[in-house]
Amino acid sequence: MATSTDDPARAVDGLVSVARLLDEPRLARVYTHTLRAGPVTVDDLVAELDLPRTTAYADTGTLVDLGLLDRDDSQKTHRFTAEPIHLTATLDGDTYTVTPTLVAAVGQTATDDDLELLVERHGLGTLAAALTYAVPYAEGRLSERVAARELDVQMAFGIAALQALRSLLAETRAFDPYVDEITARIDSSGSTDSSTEP
Amino acid sequence: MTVAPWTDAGTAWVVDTGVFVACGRAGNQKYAGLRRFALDREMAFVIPRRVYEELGGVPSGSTPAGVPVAQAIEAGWTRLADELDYTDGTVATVMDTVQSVIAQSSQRPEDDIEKTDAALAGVAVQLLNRPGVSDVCVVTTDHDAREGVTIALNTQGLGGRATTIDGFEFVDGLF
Repeated sequence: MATSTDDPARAVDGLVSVARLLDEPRLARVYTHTLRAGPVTVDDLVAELDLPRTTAYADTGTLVDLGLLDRDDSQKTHRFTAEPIHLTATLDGDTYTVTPTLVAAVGQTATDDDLELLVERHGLGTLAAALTYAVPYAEGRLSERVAARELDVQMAFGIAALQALRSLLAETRAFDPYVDEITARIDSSGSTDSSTEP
Repeated sequence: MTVAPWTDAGTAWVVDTGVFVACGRAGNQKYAGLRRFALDREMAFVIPRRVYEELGGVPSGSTPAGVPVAQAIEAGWTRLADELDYTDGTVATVMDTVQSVIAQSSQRPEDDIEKTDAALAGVAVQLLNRPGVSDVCVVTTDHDAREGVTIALNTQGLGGRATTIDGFEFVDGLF
């Protein structure tokens, strides 16, 4: 997505598009791979993501319609690129900034048992919150168990989810310029707010 | 000194929950590597009782649900640590130190820190007190727990008999 202009319609359309991406792990994988490796062709997506060709065509079409992929059709073989998402949602004072790392985490639920189970049992919000603890955990600023406890899930399962996100973050740092905005605010009073930095 | 038969030539290996989880996440061959690591040295990993409890009761389908720790104990290459003796002043002190270090680095009240982190240090001290144990090696994926255990044992003058290892690097090195 391009940098902001004073265009409220674009902001709302973007919100709807990103919501769709967060709800469909397969689309999230296509977006993430395109952002990471783009420009890519449908052939690239078929090979890298092990998708049926018809699915890859349909998904790239959907993502272009949603404004999440750009299609260069100046050559016979279309090439797709993506821009890093940066969408900040504020609801009654609770703020979260969606960046490519959350999209990548959603995509990872298609192949990672722990992240799939986390979303299945506790919802997308818990995955998003887990990411805010995974960032300081991966940087060695938050203890593994303190972070896992914040997720309010069984301890070893929480550790597994955090380790999954730690591995993911090692990859997404290369293509998510906003990753540092995803971090739990840890204050000295001991309470933690998993909202991202505004 | 006669070495304890379940040690690696006198070195007792204490392993944390996250190491088993990291093995599981990396694929079954890492469990085989962990088992081989113990068998090659004719020793058994020691796990605090809290680690054993953490690895139980996990949701089915998750990585830790597939951790065969009970089988590892049954097979003899992992063993449960003794109950922690809180009346032992050194055990109690190192556990307090670990909690304090983690509380400080994670900016949490000490009461909020999981006792399992502290148990790693407590178990290490109890092992060092046993005949046939010359030194102890603690493996954890928790950066703060590792730092806490290191500081706690150093403070008690046990640093020369203790090593802490990054659990992720340890698992990476298993084959």
